[in-house]
Amino acid sequence: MNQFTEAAVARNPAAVQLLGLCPLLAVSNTVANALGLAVASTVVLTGSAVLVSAIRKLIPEDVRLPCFVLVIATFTTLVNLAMEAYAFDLYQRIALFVQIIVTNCMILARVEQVASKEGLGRTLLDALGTSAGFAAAILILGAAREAVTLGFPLAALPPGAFMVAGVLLAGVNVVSTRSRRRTGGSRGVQDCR
Amino acid sequence: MRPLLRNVAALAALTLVAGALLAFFAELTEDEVARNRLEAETRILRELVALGAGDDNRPYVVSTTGDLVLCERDLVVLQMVGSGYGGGMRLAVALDLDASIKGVRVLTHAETPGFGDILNTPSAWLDSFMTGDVHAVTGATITSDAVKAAVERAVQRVRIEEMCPAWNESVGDGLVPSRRALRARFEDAPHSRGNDRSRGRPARATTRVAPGSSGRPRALAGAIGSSGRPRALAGAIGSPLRGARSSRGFP
Repeated sequence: MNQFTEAAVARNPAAVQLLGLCPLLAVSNTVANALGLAVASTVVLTGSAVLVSAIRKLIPEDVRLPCFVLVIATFTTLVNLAMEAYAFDLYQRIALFVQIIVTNCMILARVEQVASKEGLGRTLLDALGTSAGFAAAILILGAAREAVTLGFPLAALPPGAFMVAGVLLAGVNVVSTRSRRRTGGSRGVQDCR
Repeated sequence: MRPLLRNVAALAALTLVAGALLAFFAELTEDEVARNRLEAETRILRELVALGAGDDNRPYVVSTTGDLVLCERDLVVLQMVGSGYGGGMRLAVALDLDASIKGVRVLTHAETPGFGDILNTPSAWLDSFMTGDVHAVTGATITSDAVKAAVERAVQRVRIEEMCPAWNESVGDGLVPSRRALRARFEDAPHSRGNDRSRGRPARATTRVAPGSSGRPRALAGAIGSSGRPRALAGAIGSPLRGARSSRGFP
């Protein structure tokens, strides 16, 4: 399994590692909002990971975490400014959650575990895979919530986010447990969060 | 290099680069961001003005600097500044000629972002300030107080004759809905269309809208000048047609 699919599927940030749940639950009320946040997260994660990978030999071990956070915060602010200038309607709806991408541990985890150790190629694949996994999760949750809302209006509200996400996660667990049993594999990468 | 120096140098260099990059990009997007904010505020004010009488849909541009007073469609829209939990907030309060509240909107605020639901339109919570039956929102006590104080000040301070001088001059133009509506309010009053159409006949005006004579609320009574005559309304009723269209635009 190559870097991309491993990051996107086997180590899916939302469905397997359960990272970045705050934006996942908060912004998945509509597909449009979900897409906006997915794009913003992708830009921040990919940009930060590639940059950190490029300068990883210059970053002293002792202050690597402040450096990573600084890089991530810079990219988040850039995305925030760009959105405020060129996608103002979307900005007004999801600005808060774009700003807190800074604290998304999904991104810090990829930077710390992969970008600070690996070369550009593997880092890029890993970042794109993780982003794709997050985008798929938030878009599926957004679509599910919008569909369920038609018959069950609570789904659009915060409690509905937990309910729909819980049902979807249960489904993911059933499928992954069955496939693991069939192939006789171990719990695998699930533990390396 | 010693480790400490190396750490400091690396962090300082990275911070410098990040700061420069952000400053450059902020400058790049500054105009666009300002334009977006202006458009958003204009949209809010347009919504507010649409609550008034008539069907005048002229576009107008709203300046975000200085005091905002819009006189449109029988509504006076005031910009009020409140002090909320996160800092200053700017509100637009629409009052009609009786100084009753027709609408409350938040233009800018720095409150806890999660309260966007109650501060952004459509918001039943903001609408409830029209009746005064405001429901408490957990964690938004200071926000509620700020909005309440701003609305109260708007009602107390509205001075139609000073804020909407164009209205004094343009009554009599049958083509303008808000002008017509304004006049209609006083047409059933005695002496409403006397021979003398010149402005400011104190005695007549006083009989027409003396404070308390028609159950008028205190706010409007406050609009009456020190001489005891309601300057705005006296001028509004008696003045001849004079450059109605051109004089009533938003400054």
